[in-house]
Amino acid sequence: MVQPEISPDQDGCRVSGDLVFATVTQLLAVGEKCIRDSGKKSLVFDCAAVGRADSAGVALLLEWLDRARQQGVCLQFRNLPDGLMSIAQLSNVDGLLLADGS
Amino acid sequence: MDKLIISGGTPLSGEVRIAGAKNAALPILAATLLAEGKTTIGNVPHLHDITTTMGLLGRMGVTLVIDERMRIEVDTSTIKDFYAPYELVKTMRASILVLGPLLARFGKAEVSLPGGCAIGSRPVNLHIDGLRAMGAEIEVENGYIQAKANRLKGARLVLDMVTVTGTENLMMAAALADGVSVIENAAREPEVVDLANCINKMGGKVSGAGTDTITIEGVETLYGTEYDVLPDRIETGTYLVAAALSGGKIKVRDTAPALVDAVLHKLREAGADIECGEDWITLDMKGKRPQAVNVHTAPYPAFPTDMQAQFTALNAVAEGVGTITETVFENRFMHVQEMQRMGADIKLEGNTAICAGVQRLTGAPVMATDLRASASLVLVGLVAEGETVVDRIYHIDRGYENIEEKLEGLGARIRRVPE
Repeated sequence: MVQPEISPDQDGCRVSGDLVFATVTQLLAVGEKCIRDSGKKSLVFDCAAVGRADSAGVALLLEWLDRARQQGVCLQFRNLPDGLMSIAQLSNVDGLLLADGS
Repeated sequence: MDKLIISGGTPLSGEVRIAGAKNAALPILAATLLAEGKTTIGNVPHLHDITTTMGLLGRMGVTLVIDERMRIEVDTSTIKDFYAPYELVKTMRASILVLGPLLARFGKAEVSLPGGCAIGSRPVNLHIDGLRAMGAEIEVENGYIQAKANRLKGARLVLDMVTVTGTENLMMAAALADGVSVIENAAREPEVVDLANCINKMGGKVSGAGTDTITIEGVETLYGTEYDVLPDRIETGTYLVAAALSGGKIKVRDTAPALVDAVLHKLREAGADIECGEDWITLDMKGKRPQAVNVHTAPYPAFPTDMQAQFTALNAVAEGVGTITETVFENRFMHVQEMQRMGADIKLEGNTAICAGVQRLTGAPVMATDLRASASLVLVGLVAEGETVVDRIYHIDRGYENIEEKLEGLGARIRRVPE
């Protein structure tokens, strides 16, 4: 299992590693801190370096969206892996992940 | 309600992947309640009843995770509630399958009676009577089955009618009982065998599944495992019939030919050239119109009642006269009137449909009242001239995963219209 990380990049943050049941809990707070500390009204999380993902990973992204909205930040995801999107489609939440975050 | 719009006249061609069998996946998901540790279930079809079952388990506090291969990982260590509420059970009668596992492992269960099923009706009584014979204390109050037990005791369980869910519920309960249980007059369906195989992979001792006498030697503990659900034999048969009546040539992948012997026999009789591998079947009509066949439904391993409507569709456009005799369910010819509206020459005499095949059917707006009847109307739509609009397709969606996408992949002109 590849431990997930979030690191700042040009438009927002870069998410890497495995977003799975065993790892997402610790990542929630880290992502929320990135959203809070960014000072931006619009933020992008680039997920190109995400490895494995399961439904807990989908839940993590939805939770980040919700917390960003509460803080008045427009959060968007970029380069979501196909596997993660398949799980999102199964639950009919793919549209939420692809939305512009506003 | 969504509709399917089909423009007929294209012979099917290509490959289609068969999903896991819902009727095996549902009891296997219930059986995960028996196991300590995590159980991972693969080849689960993407159907609403599966989501409902996951919702039911989730409400109990069970942790469920879906991975990228769409396998469901179930961890029962977080369970805190042993309750199946009416609002879920009424939408899916299979919810009653949690009764046996909850009682056997946790010693208590409260499960709503299925909708429209008053106590006193035999199928539910068979579950309750069997569990009582194993030492459970069961009361039915306010529409709920309230059950408790210390460790269940092995018992001889004679089912006075063959019931698939009854067999499955009692088999799961017996798997953790103290001593040996014998279920007589058990259902023999492959989905029952699949459940037995899963329980055995968890460390259970079930033998005789697939015959009418199943012996279960109870064990103290079952453990989490990985298990793939068997392929859906009715979905397999439905796509093969679709290809046959359209004069097409297809390959069905990720299936189990041995599960559809009776159906393959009838398709060969209809003129299909069929070859089978370990997990695939090819069917080639070589452009010919099918020959009419006679079908007599009966419990597995005979010809399945769930394939009767599809063969009515086949006979509707075949050469010659064929009869379909339904011996399993009454009143299961609701699709015939709709096919007649499309030009089919079918007469009903009691439990038999006598069908003189016609060369030309015409598209029409149709609707169906059950899952397989709906599927049969889609099949005739594939060969009818013009446009067929199949309404009330929520029936189809309960049993067929992405039917319009799969048929489109085989060259059919079909689309879903949301309403």
